[in-house]
Amino acid sequence: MIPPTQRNSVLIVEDEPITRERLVEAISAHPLLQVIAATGSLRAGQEAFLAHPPRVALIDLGLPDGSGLDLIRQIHNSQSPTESLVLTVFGDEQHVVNALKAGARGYLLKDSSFTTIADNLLMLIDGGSPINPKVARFLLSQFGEWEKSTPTTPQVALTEREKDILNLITKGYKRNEIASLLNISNNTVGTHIRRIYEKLSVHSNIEATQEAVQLGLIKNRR
Amino acid sequence: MARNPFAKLFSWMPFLGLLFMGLLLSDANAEVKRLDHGEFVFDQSQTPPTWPQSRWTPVQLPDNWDLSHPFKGGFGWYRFSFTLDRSPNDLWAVYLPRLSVNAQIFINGQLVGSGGRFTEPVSHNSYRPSFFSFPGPLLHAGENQIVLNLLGYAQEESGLSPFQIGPDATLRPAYNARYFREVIVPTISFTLLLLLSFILFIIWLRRRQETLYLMFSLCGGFSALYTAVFFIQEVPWLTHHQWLWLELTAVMCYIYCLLLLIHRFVKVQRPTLEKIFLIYTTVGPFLIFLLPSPYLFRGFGLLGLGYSAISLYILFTIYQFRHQCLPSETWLLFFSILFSALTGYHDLAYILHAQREIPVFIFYWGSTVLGIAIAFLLLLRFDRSLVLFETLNRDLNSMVAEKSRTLAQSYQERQTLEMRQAVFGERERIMRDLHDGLGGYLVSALVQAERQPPQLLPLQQTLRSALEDLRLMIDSLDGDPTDLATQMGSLRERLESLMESSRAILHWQVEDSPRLPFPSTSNTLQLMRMVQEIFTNIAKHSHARHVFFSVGAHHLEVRDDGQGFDMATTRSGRGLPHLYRRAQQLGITLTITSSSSGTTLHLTW
Repeated sequence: MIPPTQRNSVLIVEDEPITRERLVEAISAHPLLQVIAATGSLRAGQEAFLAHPPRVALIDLGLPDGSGLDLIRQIHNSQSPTESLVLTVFGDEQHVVNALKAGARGYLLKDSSFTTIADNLLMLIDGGSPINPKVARFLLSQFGEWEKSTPTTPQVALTEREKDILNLITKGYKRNEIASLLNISNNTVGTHIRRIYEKLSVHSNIEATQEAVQLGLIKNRR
Repeated sequence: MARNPFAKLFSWMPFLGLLFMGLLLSDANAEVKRLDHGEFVFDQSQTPPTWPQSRWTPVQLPDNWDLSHPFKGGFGWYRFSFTLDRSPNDLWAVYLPRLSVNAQIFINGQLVGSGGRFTEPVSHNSYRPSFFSFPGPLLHAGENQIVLNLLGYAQEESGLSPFQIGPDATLRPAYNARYFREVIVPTISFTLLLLLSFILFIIWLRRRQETLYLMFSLCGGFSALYTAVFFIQEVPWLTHHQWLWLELTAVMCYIYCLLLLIHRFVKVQRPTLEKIFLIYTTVGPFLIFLLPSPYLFRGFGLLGLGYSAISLYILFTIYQFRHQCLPSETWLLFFSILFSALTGYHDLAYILHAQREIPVFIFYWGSTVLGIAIAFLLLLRFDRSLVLFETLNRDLNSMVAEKSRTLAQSYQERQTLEMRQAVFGERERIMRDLHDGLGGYLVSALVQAERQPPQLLPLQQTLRSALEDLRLMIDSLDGDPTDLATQMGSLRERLESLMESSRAILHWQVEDSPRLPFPSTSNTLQLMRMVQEIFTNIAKHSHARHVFFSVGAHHLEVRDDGQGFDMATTRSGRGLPHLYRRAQQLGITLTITSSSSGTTLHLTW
């Protein structure tokens, strides 16, 4: 048995008690994961995050006292290494894309099997990002928009290989299938995906800065 | 048709021959008398003199009073004698190429011709030839006498040039040629200058900001006024000196306007110089007007020195700023002004330094050539600006058309966008409701059903199916219905749990651009439902270990290595009719083949 301190802490913010309990059950069942707080409201979730920043936060969007997006954004902008996944019933675009824009690293279906839940969390903790067709499509279109609107430095644009990988993910191919289709290793696929996420975060920061400049929060030094 | 040049020469031979013969045979020429030696007397009486011989003094023509009788004017009398062998019968004439200002002629005591009025306003014959015909019998064999009464003014180059007497027919051609040169040509110049200045004035009225056109029209007006002196014989109201003052002032004004014109033409701004020159041009003639009349002509001559300087300045300025205009413009302007200036210097030299010959003034040649040149340049400029304007107008029109097209398009786009926004907003609201309401309930119902005893497994499965179908619906609503690849990708996630439970391995293949024949949200949903159903059947019944899924541009295939089924007996079961009906609705063909080694479902479109 791994001591509780060694386990990866997970925060759950979900207002439906039965669903929340099942998630707690599924996570607690895994030896490497530990639920440090499970709350049913935005405020309680924020307090729990500030008290003990977890490794991963699972956040529902439709909370009784506000939108989970606020918490995702707060976590994304904080200094803590916490990464968040959005909890969703359908995995629909509205939820997923808004959450990704706010800073979430992916989504988790509420009725996922225990194995799927644990696998996704561990992959995220490992530094590999959970990715699926919708997220991939979002990333492709988001980077496409950036390329069009701002001729940014090539370092933060997607490479052809990265685009190929995202395209394959869009079509439903799994990581190992992509690896064999492109003649690369599984790990390399993971590395590529992580790099895409890094670029996304650079872009998000640029965007946030630009917004701040536009709002007059930061003085534009040129 | 290259003709031999000699042939051309030969064709002219008869004419040349006739001309030569004419010259040889003409004794008429021999009859023409050129008179340049005579006698002269100043006397204000206007009837032929009968004074004693002692008053007459010998005179040789040309006789320029400025030299022979400085500061003297009024009526002078010339007397010439010549002898004829016989009295002629035909019409004879006296041809006086040049006299100033007016004269009348008596032959053998008989008045044969007069230049017009001898009292103010006098008739002006200074710049034109005079020709008086008379019947030949007036002359008799032996000595004949011609007496000429001349009206002249002091210090104005008044006087008389050598003249001829002879048969009218012989003298007339020479007179006509001179008349054409000295009267008709200035008339044409006058008309042309006036016409051009009128046209440019009209253009200026339409384009007030282009002072160039006004300057030209003033220039043209003044030079026309000056040119009028050559062909207008009778000037109403004005005395001789007033008329002289007016015409010479017109020359000064012409040069002043020319300076302004050139400054504007080469785009130079020198207001101070223009002001000084304006003062010179107004004060100078005014002062001259106050002088006694013998000083008028030479006074203008002295004033003209200033204008000579200005003409040099104008030439220099054009040269200096030659890059402001097109090279062709610059050089045409430069040489026509140079020509004009040379004619001016010629006239000025005669005015300031009187010769015995009565002068022929040629400045109007220069001003005519210059006027035509400048009018040509201005009309060219006007044409250029018209062309430019038309081009601009055309560009502007096409730009406006383009803009309005874009505007209409963007308006339409906005409308579509607004409509889509409205639909999207509505969809978003329904999704949110589904997510927080029905979806949430389904998930918690499913979670609760999971905890129930195994006999309630069908309930759990039904709930899961309901949730899956809801997801399919939302997926199909979510994305782009033409993007079948991503729809398939998302579907795979749902199939994953189904495959997990059946322990079959899924082999996935999605080609680049699968696309339904009539892509729409509902058609895509139908197809997804079919695929979902096919996979549910495989999971439930086939016991397959491998499932091969592939979708391409025009097909979709699901193949398994399960136990298969008997098409005949199972036709009604397993929802097969349902699949066929859906395929039919979608307008695609479904083929099912099944054997003990597996089943293949093939959809083509």
